[in-house]
Amino acid sequence: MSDPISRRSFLKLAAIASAASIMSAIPAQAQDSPVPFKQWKTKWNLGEIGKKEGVIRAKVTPVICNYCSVGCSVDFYTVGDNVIFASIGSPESPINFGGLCSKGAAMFQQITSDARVLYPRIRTGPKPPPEELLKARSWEELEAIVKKYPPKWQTVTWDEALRFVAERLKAILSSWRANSGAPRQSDGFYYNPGSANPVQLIGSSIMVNEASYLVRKLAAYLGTSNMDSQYRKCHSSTVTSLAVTYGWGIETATNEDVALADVVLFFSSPAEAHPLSFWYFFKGKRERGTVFITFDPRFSRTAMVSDIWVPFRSGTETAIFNYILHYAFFERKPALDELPEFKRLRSRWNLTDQDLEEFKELIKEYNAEEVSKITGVPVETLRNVAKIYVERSGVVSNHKKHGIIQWAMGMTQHTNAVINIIRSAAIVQLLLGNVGYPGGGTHPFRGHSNVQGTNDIQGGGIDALPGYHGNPANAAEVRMYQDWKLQGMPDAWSWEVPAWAQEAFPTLRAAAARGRADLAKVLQVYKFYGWRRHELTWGVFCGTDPESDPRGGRVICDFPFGAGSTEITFVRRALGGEIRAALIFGENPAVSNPNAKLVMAALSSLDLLVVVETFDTETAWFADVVLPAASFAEVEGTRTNGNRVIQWTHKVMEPRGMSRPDYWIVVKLFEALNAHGVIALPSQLAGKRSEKVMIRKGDRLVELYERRVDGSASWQYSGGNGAAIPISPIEAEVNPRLINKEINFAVLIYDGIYNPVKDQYTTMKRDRRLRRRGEIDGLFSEKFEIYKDWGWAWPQNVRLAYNYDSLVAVLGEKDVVEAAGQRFEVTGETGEWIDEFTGEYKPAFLPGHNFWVPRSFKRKLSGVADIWGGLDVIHFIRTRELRFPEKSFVIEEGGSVRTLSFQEFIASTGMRYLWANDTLFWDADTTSFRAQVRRPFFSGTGWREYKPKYEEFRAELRKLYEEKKNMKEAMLKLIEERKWYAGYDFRYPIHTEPAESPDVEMAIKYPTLAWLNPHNVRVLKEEPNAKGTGLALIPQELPEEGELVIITSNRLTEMMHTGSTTRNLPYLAQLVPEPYVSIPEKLAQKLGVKPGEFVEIITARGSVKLKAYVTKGMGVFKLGEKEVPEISVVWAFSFAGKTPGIHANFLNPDVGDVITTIQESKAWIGKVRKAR
Amino acid sequence: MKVPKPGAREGVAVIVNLDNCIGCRACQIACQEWNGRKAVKTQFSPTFTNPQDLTADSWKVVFFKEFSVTKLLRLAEGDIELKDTVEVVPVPYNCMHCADSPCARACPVGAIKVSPEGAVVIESSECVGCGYCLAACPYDVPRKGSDGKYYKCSFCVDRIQVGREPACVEVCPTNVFTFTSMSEAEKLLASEFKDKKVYGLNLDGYVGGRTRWIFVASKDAADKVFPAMFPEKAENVNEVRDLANEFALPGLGVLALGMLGLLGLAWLRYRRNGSH
Repeated sequence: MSDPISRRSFLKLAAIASAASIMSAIPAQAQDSPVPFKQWKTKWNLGEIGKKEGVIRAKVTPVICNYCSVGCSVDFYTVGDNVIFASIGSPESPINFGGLCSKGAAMFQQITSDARVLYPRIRTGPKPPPEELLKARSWEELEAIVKKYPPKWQTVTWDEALRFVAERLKAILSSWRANSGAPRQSDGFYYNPGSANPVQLIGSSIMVNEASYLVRKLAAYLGTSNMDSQYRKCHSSTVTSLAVTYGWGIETATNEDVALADVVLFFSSPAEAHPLSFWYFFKGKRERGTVFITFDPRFSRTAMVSDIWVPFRSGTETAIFNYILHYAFFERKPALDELPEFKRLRSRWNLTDQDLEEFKELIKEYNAEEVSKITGVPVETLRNVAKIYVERSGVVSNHKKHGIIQWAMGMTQHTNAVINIIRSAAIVQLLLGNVGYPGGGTHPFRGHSNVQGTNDIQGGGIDALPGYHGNPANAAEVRMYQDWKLQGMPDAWSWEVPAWAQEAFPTLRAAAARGRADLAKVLQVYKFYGWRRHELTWGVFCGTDPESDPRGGRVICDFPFGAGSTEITFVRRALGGEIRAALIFGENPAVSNPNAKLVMAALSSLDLLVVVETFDTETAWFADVVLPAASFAEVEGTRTNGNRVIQWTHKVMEPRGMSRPDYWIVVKLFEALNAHGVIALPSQLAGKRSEKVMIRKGDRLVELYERRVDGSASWQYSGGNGAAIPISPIEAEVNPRLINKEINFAVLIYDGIYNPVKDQYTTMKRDRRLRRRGEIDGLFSEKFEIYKDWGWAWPQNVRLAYNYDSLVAVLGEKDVVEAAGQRFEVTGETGEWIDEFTGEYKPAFLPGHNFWVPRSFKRKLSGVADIWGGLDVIHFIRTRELRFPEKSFVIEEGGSVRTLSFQEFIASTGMRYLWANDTLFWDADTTSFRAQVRRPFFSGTGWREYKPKYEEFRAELRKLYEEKKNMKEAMLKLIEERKWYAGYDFRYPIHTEPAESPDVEMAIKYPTLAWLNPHNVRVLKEEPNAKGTGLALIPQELPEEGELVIITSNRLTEMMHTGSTTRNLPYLAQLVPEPYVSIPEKLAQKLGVKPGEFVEIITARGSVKLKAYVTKGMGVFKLGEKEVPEISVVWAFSFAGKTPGIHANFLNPDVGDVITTIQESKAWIGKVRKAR
Repeated sequence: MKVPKPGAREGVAVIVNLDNCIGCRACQIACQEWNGRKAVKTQFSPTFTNPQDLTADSWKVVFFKEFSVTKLLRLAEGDIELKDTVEVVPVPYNCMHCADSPCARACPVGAIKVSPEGAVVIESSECVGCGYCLAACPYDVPRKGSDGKYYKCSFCVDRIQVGREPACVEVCPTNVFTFTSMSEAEKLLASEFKDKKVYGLNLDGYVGGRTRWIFVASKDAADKVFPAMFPEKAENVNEVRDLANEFALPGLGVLALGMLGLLGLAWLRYRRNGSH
């Protein structure tokens, strides 16, 4: 497994072969020196110029880059703990082929940066008072207040720091438990709701999976649902929107697949934020003439290399997507729905004829003229783009061509991102036949190196366990779960929803009987199945006591119930006193959250803020305790890139100072908290020390074995054997390889990252080969050039999600695969899965990957045995020893019921490796679920019935506004009367304005849907007691002076996120030494502002002065009669670190998406004037 | 001075395809790091280019050029005219490595070598900081460092001599650079890049007729970028350069003569010391 490290050297890795042929063109030169008495130099030693001679004997370690989500491998050449050279990618990686961007090339400077935190420390001085911070009306004022209270630190030992945290947390949690009685309930022990817990955990999308997983685990053990991470603020809307439509919130295809696209609609700037993705985008351009179209108000680096740049008003994407469909249905001849491929694909969508008619009625309204008014894009441009896009789609070209919709924050950070914007993109892709086919798909590009992984591995934090198994909603659900356990942990088809549970869960009624399953039932089982895997891997309990009485027993559940606060909602909750302590791992919300003064006040208001960080960040400024985290080069583990490829990142050197890997820190935190009695699991308090595992057979309950319940045993991660031999003393204490195995077993979608049969970490695979026809996914890999042996992808190594029939649709042939002694006929990408008979791989999803799998699965051990046949999985993870209970299988034979041991069971069935795959399988039933084009979000009716009500709603809003001359009051009145969009279930997306609209007519015609979430109403009302943190709903609510502008923000290649990992590096800081605002030339002329001069930007939250970057490349949009310019701020700066700068996130509002609360930081309004 | 060098059609070359450049500036960083250069103290740049010019510590800088353009897009779906749209072209720029480099000819101490591959290298241990190289350079490349010596791109001569591409070439994520032999480069320019405009092949004799870093771009970009980046004809523009040029031709410039004088003095001193 250390192969990638040892075999290589600087010279071996060069493209020697090609270079050799170049060198043969070098003439032999043995001329005399032209300078008398002096030797004429003609030969240089390797590394001579930059004093890097050491490179020749350096060790090479491939590290997965910790910036963006592309997943590049960076080669570190080191001698001892010194980095000799690391500005080069790994040439063998099929993701970056040796290439890097400026960040990757400079990343090694993170290790030696003197802005690093190297020792644990405790605050001794006061924090900035929240009330004072909230009074700031400008960034200058806020910065001055913050700096008035510089933190004073005392350096302490790890023991002292951990004890301090444990004692403080104990005080906070003990008083909460005493006052609330939690987790004691009238009918048992459980934390309900988990959001009532005063502790918030945050982080982190930059840590390895092994660490993020433990953070989520710690939150559960603390009894809190207030657990969130950066994914909230990046792509939570993508994840939710795509998940409810397709089954999973993921980029549907992989890096290399974009080269097969014929047209790409860029709604973000991957050339800027994901530079290495352009390796494959350009491959497509070179080989197929892919047309690149960039939609962006700003002329980005992606626009630089695009064929067409379409500036459009931020926040109006839904209108654009709906117009593309309008073109396809109403302008194109023949219409989209008359094409045979459209008709064929309908069997994979949930659209009835009636639904389609209703949907088309809605789409009809989005004609080019209207969409042009909304978006500011000329009609002709809209038409050209729609034509190119539709003509190059799967349906129209019969899968000769496909198109990609690519996006990032520009689309996700809106109040209507889930319901309208991303849904509309997802629907366009479905209806055009672009999803699940090579060169098509939805491509949300995620921001951070492990944001996809952390999202998966924390289950989205607030309301689900790792792997998106939802938290228990209430005690009734736990009772139903206990009954499911008694039914032998069955799949959806083998499960009978008990009649008593159907009352509480009416959606399960339709397919309640055994033998039937619908999506609701499948999703319920997915939840239960996940709980069970977590019970077994964590050693905790969720169920009833006694186990035999699901209806009457006490409910005891160690998983906190319900949804907690998000990174966005936590801020106002903290200010309101509901959250008293926060543990923040590897994140800098002081800068990355919107509405800076609010978030800084909230951080200051906490009784305990623990910050685990590599750098001295702005968030650390407000901390009580700062714990030093090792850098990316000082840890090992896995990172999941934006398209789900999970790669092992190797450790280059030992941590500097007293910094420690995040996984080590979380485990030590747990140990300290546990020792101080801060951890109070419901099972512990209830005295539940073991679980009787039993299965109901007829009227009889057969007791199989007794499982020890001890939640702390699974926090023991020391040691390890075989492939898990610790790589250094720190890893011997807390071994990420053991945690990785635990993830493999706890998290169904990550099952496969470890192969327990071969004792192999599949994420370490670095084989750049294309599989061949006949192998698993051989034809797929060969023809579409997909690298399936580089790392591992979830689910089950599937690279192109929903690739159900593309072999047939595109190539016109099926593949026949021989594996595990069987023959499989497949039509798409199947992924691979361990066979329970042979322990070898076989195709997983048959005949190909489809919507909703692997959420829908079947299980041969349904009704027969516990998961993994009752294997003591905690023990196995740590020792690789198979330890089974004496009897853990129950079978019915000829009317009698028999219990069997593992050995007896395999003797009769041959399923020797059932502990490796839990006998899950996917057949035609499980792969038959449809994508949800129609998907309601609220109670109400569809579009057809709602349309007249919509007119009334708009008219009423207009009337109220004209009466009151105040939009805020008008809206509040309708909100209070519960009239806000009342009646529409939002089954299909419509355009709605951002909370802050640049035009009053637009605000009335397309009212924002923000007020469907109570958090946003809180923002509107500036609660709790936070004047000057609210909104200007329309331009009339802004100060009179200055020019009206639409404001958005952007990332730069050189500056990552809040800048702590880039502003602190000299190489990157020289490229972008300070923040600025891009303003259109036209506006600059009007204001009399020259490049580099300061402009003042004024919003409802206050003002900021930024230098003007004057460019032709910013949109100016016609809105009604007036022209409104858009400006874009660079927000990667704030007051701390080596290169401080003005903090642009001071300006944006903290209203959020109505479903996920991701902040609306891409479309808000303000006034701009020349700074005085 | 007569500098030993490969013929203009021999040695190595790099084709720089501007149409592929996304302006990520990895090349700029990899260059600095491989060559042991420190970060430059900079400030806000109105053109985004930063540092805003080549420096002794940044031998390669990506210049961003913004302009308006009207483009015609020819697609299967029909022609689309894009009127008055914006274009920004990033230009990764460094020493052009002239086939017959005026700087090397002008260097009075022979500190500028031309490697057998054609890399033009300032050997800093020999540089006396006179600045004649900069004066002679038609591309305004060498820069004086804080130690008084002049610095510029060495073509990563220490890498190419062991068969590894220059650091900037290797790190580029989008294949902007094609490092190859000059003869192969000529073939590529006539085939793969035949639709693009070229800068670097048909230049004045002052630079030996061509440079080893050859820029290609589509017509729209090239028409705007080439005139903005490169002198109309690569030739000397001031007196000193004229001098260097003139005297370089017979093989011994005045400066080299001066140098000979210095060497003569050294020889005398050596003789004096030796006679003790």
